[in-house]
Amino acid sequence: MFSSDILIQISPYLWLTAGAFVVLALGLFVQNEKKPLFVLITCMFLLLSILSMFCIGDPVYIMNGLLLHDKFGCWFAVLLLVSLFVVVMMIPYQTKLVAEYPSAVLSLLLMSACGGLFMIFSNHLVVFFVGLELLSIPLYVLVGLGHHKGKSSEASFKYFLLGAVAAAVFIYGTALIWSSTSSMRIDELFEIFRSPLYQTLPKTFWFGLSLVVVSLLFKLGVFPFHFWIPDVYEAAPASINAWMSTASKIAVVGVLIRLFYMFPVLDSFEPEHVTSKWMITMGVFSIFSMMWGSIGGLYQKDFKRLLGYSTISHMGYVLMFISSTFGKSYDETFEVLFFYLCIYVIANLVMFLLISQSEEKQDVTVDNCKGLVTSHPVIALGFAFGLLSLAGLPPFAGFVAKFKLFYFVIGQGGIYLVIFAILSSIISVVYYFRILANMFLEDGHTTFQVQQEGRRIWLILFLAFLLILFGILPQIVQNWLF
Amino acid sequence: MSFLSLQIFFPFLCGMLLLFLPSSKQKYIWNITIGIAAVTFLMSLMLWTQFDFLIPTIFQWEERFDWIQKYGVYYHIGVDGLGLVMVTLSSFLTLIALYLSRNSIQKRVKEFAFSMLMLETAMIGTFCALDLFLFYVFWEIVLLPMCILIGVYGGEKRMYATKKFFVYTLFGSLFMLVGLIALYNINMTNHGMVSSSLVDMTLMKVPASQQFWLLIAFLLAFLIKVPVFPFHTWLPLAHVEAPMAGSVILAGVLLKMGAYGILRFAIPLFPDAMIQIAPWMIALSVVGIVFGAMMAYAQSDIKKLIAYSSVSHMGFVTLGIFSLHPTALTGAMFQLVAHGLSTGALFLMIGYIYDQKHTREMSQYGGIASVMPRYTVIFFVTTLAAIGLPGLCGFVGEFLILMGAFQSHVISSPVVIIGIAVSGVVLGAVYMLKLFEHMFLGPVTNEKNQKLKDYKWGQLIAMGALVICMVYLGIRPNSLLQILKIQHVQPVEISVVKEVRRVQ
Repeated sequence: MFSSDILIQISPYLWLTAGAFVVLALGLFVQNEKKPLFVLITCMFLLLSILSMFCIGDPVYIMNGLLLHDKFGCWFAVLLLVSLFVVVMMIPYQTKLVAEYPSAVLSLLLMSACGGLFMIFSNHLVVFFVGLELLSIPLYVLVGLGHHKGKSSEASFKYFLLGAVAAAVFIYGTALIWSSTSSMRIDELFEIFRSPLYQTLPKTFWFGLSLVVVSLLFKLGVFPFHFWIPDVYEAAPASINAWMSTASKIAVVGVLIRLFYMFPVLDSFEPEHVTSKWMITMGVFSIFSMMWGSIGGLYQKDFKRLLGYSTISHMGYVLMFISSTFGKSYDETFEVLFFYLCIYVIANLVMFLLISQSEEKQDVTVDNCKGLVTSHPVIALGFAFGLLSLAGLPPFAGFVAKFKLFYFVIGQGGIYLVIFAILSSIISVVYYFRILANMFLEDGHTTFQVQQEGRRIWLILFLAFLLILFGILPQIVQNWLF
Repeated sequence: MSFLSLQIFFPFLCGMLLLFLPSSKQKYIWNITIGIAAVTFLMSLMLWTQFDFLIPTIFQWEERFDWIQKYGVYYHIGVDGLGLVMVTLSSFLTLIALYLSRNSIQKRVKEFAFSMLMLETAMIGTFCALDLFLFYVFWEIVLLPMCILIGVYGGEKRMYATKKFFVYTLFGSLFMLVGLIALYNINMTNHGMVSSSLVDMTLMKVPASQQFWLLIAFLLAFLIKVPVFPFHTWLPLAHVEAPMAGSVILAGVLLKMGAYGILRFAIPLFPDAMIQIAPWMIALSVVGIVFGAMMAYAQSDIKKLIAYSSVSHMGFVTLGIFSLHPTALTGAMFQLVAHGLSTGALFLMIGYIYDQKHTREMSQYGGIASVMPRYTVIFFVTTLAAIGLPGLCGFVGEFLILMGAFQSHVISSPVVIIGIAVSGVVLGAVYMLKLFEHMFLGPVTNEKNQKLKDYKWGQLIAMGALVICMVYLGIRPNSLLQILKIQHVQPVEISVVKEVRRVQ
C-alpha cells in the first residue's frame, strides 16, 4: 500500500513525530539531570528531518492532494527546522524550562515543528487547520513555563483563549468556503479563481475567506489582531520566544503567499475589483501594524516586550509586501520574501537567545543593560548586530532585506505604503537606538548575568556574524537558493 | 583590488586588528593609530602623484564589479578632482584630530581609535563611491562611529545630542533610500535596465516630470547633512556635546558630505528639477547665512558660536551650488575645503583649551594672548581665514560664489540676494572678531588662566600644517581650482540657458 516513494516524501514528518515520542519516552527512563542526552537526541532527529527535506524536489501532490511538496515550501520548512535546531542547541540547561521537564519541552518543540511543516506544505484547509493547532497547542503550554509564575500563566491562558477563538474562526471560515464551493483544496479553489466562475461566487465564500485570513493574521500578529503579542512575549521564556517568533511567522507567511496567489492579476487598478479591495485592506492593516509596532515600542521597559512590538512592525512590512503580491506566483516573490524572513529569523534568534542566557537570574530590561559592553563585550556585540539588523542599517543584512522589499513594493506601485514603512523605520530606530545607547554609550554597571559563559555563545555570535556577512554579500544567499 | 579600494578599507582593517591589542597599553594604541592615520594620509597623497590633472573631470582609478547582480548594484568606485580633494581633506583632518586628541581622551582609548578609523573608511568611501547604493551604504555607516564618538566621549547632554543627531540624519537618508528605489523603478520602466551606477543612471535620463519628487527625496538627506537653515537644529547640539575630534570631523568632513552629494548626484541626475527648485533653495541658503551669523553673534558658548558660523558658511556653499553657474559651483567646492580647514582648526583649538579649563564660556577667558602667544597667533590666522580675508583660503570661495551667483540665470534679483549674502560676511567678521577680542585681548581677567599651557612643538607643527594650507590656498587658489571641476557643470549650464530662453 505504502510505496517507498511516499515514505520518502513524508519522512520529514515521520522523523519529527518519531523524535517527539522517543524523547518523551526517554523521559520515563532517564533522569532529568542528563539533559545533554535529551538535547542530543532531539538534534539528531531534527537533523534527520532536515536532511530528508532535500529528497523533496519537483512539485508533487501527495496523500490524495492533501499536501503539496515543492521547492519553495521546502525552503520555508528548512528555515523553520534550522531555527528550531538553533533554539534547541541554545536552551540554557539551568533554566526551569529544561531543568524540570526536559523531555516534555523538547518533544513539544518537535511536535510544534511538525505542525509548522504541515502548515507550510498543506494544500487542504483541514490539513492546514491540523497543522495550525499542532503548532499552537505546544506553544500555549510552553509559554506558561516562564519563570514568572503568575504572569506566565496569565499570558499562556490569554494566548490559548485568543488562539482558540482564532481557530474557531478559521474552522467557521473553512465551513463557509466549503459550503459555497464544495471544495477545501487550495489548488481547486485556485482553479475556480482563475476561471470566470469566480465572479459568480456567493458572498458567503468571501466571508469565509476573510475569516480564514483573519485567523492567519492573528497568528502573524498584525494589526488589528496584535494585542496578544506584547503580553505573551513578555511572559514567555526567552528560548520559547525565539521559537514562537520564528516558527509561526515562517509558516503563516508561507501560506498567505500561497493563498493570495489565487487572486486574479490586476491589469489596471479598479477600486471595485475583488483583488484591489483585498489589496487595500491588507495595505491598511500593514500601515497600522507598522506604525503601531514602532510607536508602541517607544515607551517599553521590558526588553522582550519591546521585541514584541518590533515583531509587530516587522510583520507589518511583510504584510505590506504580501499586499502587493496578489496574483503573483512564488517565482517572482519568493526570493525577496525568503531573504527578508531569513534575516528576520536570524536577528530574532540572536536577540532572544542572548536574552535567554540571563533572564532567570534577572529580568532583562532596557535599563539594566547599561554598560553591558564593559562587562560582557561579546554579548553586547551580538545584541548590537541583531538590533542594527532589525533597525535596517547598512551594512547589516536587515538593510539589504528591507531594500529588496521596498524595491519590490515600489515596483508594484506601492510608494505610499513604502513611505509609511520608512516613517515607521525612523520611529522604531529610536527604540533600537535607546537599547544600543544603554549598552555602548552609557556608563553604569549592568545586572545582566550570563548563566553559562561558554562555547555556546559563539554559536549565537556566528549567527550575528551571518547578519553582517549577508549584508555585505547578499549574493551568497541568492546564488545558493537559485 | 585597486589602490583606491585599499585606500578606503586600509584604516578599517587596521582598526580591526587594533581591537585585539590589550586595552591597557594605551601608549602603543595611540602610536599605532596615529601611524595608521598617517599612512592613510600618505596614501591619499600618493593618489595626487598619479592623478592626471589634465582630465580632472574624468573618474580615475575606476574599479567596477558586480555586487548584487539582480538589482544592478555595483561596487563602483573612482575619484575625480572633487573626490580626490575631499579624500585628502578627510584623511588629513583625521590624522591631525587623532594626533591632537592624544591628551584629551583618557578612557576607552581603543574604542576611540577604532571609531575614528572606521569613520575614516566610511568618509573616504562616501567620497569615492560612484554607485548610489554603495554611496548610501557608506553614508549610513558614517553614523555609527560618529554616534560612538559623541555618545561615549561627549559632554553632559551627550545622549540627547547623539539621539537627535542619529534620528535626524537617518530621517533624511531613509527618504533618500525611497528616492533611490523609485529612481531604479523609473529607469526600469523607461529603459528596461536596472543599474545603480552613477554613470549608467546619468545616461538614462529621468523624464522632467518625474524628477521633482525624486530630487526632493534626495535633497532631504543632503540638506539635513549640510545643514541648510530649517534643518540645522541638530548641529549646534551635536557640536557642543561632541569631543574635539568628533567636532572636527563633523564640521570638517561630515557637513561636506551633504554638499558633495548634491554636486555628485543631484545635479547630474535631476538637472531640470534642480533649475525648478533652485530659487527656493537659494532663498533658504541666504536666510541660513544671515540667521547663522546672527545666532553665532548671540552665543556665549564658544563651540556653539563656531557651530552656528558653520551654518552660515555652509549657506554660502549651497548658495553657490544652487546658483548653477560654473564659477559659483567651483567656488562652492573651494569653500568646502576652505571651511573644512578653518573650522576644523577652530574646533581643534577650542578643544585644546577646553581640556585645560573645562569650560566653553567666552566670559571665562580674556586676555590669554599674553599667556599663550603661539596659540593666539594660530587662532588669529584661522579667524581671519574664517572671516574671508583676502590672501587666506576663506576669501577665494566666498568671492567666487558671490561672483558666480551674480551671473546666475536662476536668480531673478541678484542684487538683493548678493546684498543679503554679503551682509552675512560682514556679520561673520563681527562675531569672529568679537570672539577673538573676548578671548585674547586685554588684561588677563581670570587668575586661573595664567596657568594655561601653550602649544608644544608637536602640536604647533600639526596646527602649523593647517595654517600653511590656509595661507597657501589663499595665495595660490589656482592649484586647487584647476582640478575642482565636475563633469556635469556644462550640461546644466546649457539647459539653464535653454530654460531661460524658453521662458523669454
